[in-house]
Amino acid sequence: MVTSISLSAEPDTVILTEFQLDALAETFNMSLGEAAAIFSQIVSEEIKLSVPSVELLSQHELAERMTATHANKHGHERLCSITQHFTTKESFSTDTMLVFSESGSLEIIRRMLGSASSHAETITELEQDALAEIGNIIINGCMSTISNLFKKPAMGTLPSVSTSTPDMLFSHRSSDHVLLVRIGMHLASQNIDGYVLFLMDVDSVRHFVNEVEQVFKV
Amino acid sequence: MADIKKVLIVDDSRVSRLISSSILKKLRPEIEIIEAADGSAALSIANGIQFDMGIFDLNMPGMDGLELAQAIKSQQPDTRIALLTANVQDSIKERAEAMGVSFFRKPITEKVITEILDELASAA
Repeated sequence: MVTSISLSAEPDTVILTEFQLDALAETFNMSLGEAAAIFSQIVSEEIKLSVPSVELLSQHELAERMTATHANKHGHERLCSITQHFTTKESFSTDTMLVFSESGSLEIIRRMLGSASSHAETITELEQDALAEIGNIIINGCMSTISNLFKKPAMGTLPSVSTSTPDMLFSHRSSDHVLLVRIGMHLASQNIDGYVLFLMDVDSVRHFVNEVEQVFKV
Repeated sequence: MADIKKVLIVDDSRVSRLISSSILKKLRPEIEIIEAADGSAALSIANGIQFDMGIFDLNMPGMDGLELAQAIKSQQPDTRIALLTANVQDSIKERAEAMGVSFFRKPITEKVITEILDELASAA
């Protein structure tokens, strides 16, 4: 269940009612629940989910937020992202991005690959391929739930993987707003925080909200 | 249950091919497995070899898994094909069903590969 939603977009760009936000949160709650179930199968371990939060932020706000969250005494923790672009006919398009810390990503990959993985501190070519596939599985699980709910097929690109500092993660993005859905995924053996981000322009956010309204009749 | 001797695995993810192959080898050591990273390479291979079963990913560079299934079925009508994908949209399931292609969901686990072997072997 989502209990925390905040809206920090400019008032004249996107205005969402409490009901719309509630319906939006429930949509992501369903899709991220599905994504977590898939994630659990990949690492062969129960995943404890934190309460998801949904926010609408500008790219600038998001970059600041991620930078503050991942600051440590050595500077900033590097992040791994896996991104796929999805388009739906006459509705919304989104860059859907799965983000983990680099150390968390390595742990997940090693769970998936077992003895085939290396013990290096940086990601090898095979591990990069594994990360792309993990992202592909989790992101598609998430987007398939949304597509089935909206009854609108979503066409997706192949996954792309990048590793960077938090402030550089969104530097090349053109969309002005980011629908930030944040969920903590905790393995019993160690905490791994994952985020799912939906990067949309204002028109796409409006279309997305319209789809949600039709599903929930709000 | 029909005899499965040759299996074609097509997935652009090297890791996915690795996992599928190792599980298949563990479950059915007698099966010959041939891998391809995309549809074009798979079609070239299938020109010279008759396969009993194909396990295809959906989202790949070039032709997708269902387009590949269509092409393989026109060359080798007896080959049974499973789509093994993370894309579980209803529209994809419906397209697969209409083509007579069995649909399975990633991640790739021993349970899923066992289900593929059971379903496709009994479909012969």
